[in-house]
Amino acid sequence: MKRAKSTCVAAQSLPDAPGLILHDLSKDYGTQRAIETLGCEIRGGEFTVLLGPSGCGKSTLLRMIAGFETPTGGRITLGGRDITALPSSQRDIAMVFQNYALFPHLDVAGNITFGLNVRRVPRAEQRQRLDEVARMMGLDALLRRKPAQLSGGQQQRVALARAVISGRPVLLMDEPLSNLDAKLRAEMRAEIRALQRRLGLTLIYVTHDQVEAMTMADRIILLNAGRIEQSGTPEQIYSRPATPFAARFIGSPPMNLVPAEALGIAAPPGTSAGLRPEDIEIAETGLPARLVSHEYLGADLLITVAAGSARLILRRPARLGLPPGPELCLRWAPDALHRFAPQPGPASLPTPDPASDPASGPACAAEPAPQPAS
Amino acid sequence: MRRETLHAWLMLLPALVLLAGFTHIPAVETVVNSLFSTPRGMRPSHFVGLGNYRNLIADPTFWQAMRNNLLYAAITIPLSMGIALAMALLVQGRIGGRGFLRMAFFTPTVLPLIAVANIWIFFYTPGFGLLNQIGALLGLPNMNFLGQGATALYAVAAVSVWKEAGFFMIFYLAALQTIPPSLIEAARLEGASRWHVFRRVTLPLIMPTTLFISVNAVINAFRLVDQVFVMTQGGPDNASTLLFYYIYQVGFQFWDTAYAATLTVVMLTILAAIAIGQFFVLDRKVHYR
Ligand SMILES: Nc1ncnc2c1ncn2[C@@H]1O[C@H](COP(=O)(O)OP(=O)(O)OP(=O)(O)O)[C@@H](O)[C@H]1O
Ligand SMILES: [Mg+2]
Repeated sequence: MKRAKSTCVAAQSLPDAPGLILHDLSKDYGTQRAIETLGCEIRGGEFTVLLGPSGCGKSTLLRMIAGFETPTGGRITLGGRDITALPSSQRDIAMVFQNYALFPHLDVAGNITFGLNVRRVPRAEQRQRLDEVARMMGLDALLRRKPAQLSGGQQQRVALARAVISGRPVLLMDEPLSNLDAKLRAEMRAEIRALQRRLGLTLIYVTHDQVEAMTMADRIILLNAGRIEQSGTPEQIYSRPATPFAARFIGSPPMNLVPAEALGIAAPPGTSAGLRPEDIEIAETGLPARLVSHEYLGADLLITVAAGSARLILRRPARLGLPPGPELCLRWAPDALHRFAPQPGPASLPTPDPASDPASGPACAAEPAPQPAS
Repeated sequence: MRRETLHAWLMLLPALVLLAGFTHIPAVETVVNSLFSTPRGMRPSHFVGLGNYRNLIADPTFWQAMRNNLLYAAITIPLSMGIALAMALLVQGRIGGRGFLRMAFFTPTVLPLIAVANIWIFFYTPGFGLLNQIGALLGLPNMNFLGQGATALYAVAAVSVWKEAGFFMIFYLAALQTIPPSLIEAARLEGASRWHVFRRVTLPLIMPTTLFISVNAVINAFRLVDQVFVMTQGGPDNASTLLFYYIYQVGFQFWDTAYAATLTVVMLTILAAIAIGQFFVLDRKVHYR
């Protein structure tokens, strides 16, 4: 399933933005394995997001690509060239660091042209490229300021400008927006995305925020405990999660995941069934359930119900209101149901963020559904 | 209200007494004394105006001490700071035996200066001293490092460098560790060589520390006395006399206290001028975070 968006990117992108291939890459820190042997392809000119919970090895993977960490095993190729043993300066890769890594003693112009200076680019060309990039990033007025005199968002732009001015086709970003407030983050998301498309960069972006991943990525590589859980377009991962982990990690509130028996589905023992909250409908017939609590989100209403021993969250437009009584029936389209075969070993489900999980929120204590006046 | 004022003064009193008694009053007293003659036997002290200062300008030993001290400062300050920085860079990286090296570099600082000076006297001893034994293996002639006018000052300076470098290293080490590794990584990614990273990133970021150390180094260079006292007594023929040692001699061996006060005023003026100059000149080049 190819999105219109990504075909359009392919048409615009530089023909030469190279892709990366990770061959059986692994990384140990002492006896601890940070990255299990994994392989994947990162296509040229695409926006690839490395997504996963804290400590799953995203930064480690990115740092191996940048050349700051040596892989324990495996190879990395960039545009067909083996770069595993190359020093980071020779990899033709630019990077934006989480703390921006701006040089505090240099002004904005000095920071942006640092690399050009190092590589002895002639002054006139430096000036011209600086003007161009500064205009593109809206930094013209700030060129003589020191980083300490800039706001977080401006520092972020300087870091981005420093990466862009290098003209390198591959850009790595490690949680670049985590220090910004929510509004600025949304703005920068759009800005980075637009920049990537305009320049046709191969961009590898690390985040633990699934919203960032969903909104920005052409392709998501979902990591868990040093392994690739699933990779694909945001739609693929959302609509066809390959594992229970992928099912729970993407989407807010996360997918309902319950033993198949609880939904009255015939399946081998141990099979779990998954349903997205928005795929469950309240109907006249179907699986009987009881209303437990609800949470009002503005446009939507999250309703927690109990079906036998299982708890389910369903989402529906707030204008439809709550169902008339505490007893109700649930229905879903056959293709909305996801089945997951029993997992060998302990299943590692991400615990949902308490803030976005109404079932654990103290704000929505069980209360009787309002009866329609009759 | 009055009670509170009284309390405030009572609280301040201990510090005030100590500061005034041991710093401010003696300083003023020194300046006053330098304008009077030294009381001797029958003749009480009397006002001589700038007479002591005129004597000082005509005193060849003072000028010799001054020259020695400038040479001594010119050797020890850059050398000890340079070595300190080099050692700090060496032991901050990931090298084997890092903890041991750090301790080894710092040890000279912990040892009492008098003990250190005595140990170095053994190294320098003519005939069977360590340096001469090594020299003999290499076929070099026997040298009396401390007894020769040409080498005495350098021999004393070497001990100072050896002792101070380890102390300054600690400051540099602390400064280096405040530099985020991602800055270095960002520079390396841009293709900067090790030397370039050092020149353009590390060095500017540790400038505040460099300024602090350099002020200390200057002060140390002018207030050295114990080592000269133990190793050479300023000799031979004043070849290793430094300003502070000369003040000691004048004040407590010749008991010419007024002249010693004059020398002290001159030295303090020089020190203050240098320190202020350092702050003004370097301050413009220093980036404080
Ligand atoms: N230098 C190191 N030495 C030892 N272990 C390390 C080192 N760096 C990372 N690790 C371990 O490797 C694993 C992966 O770390 P990594 O920094 O890649 O996680 P991450 O996915 O980036 O997490 P976060 O989202 O919190 O940044 C973690 O278990 C971490 O403890
Ligand atoms: Mg990380």
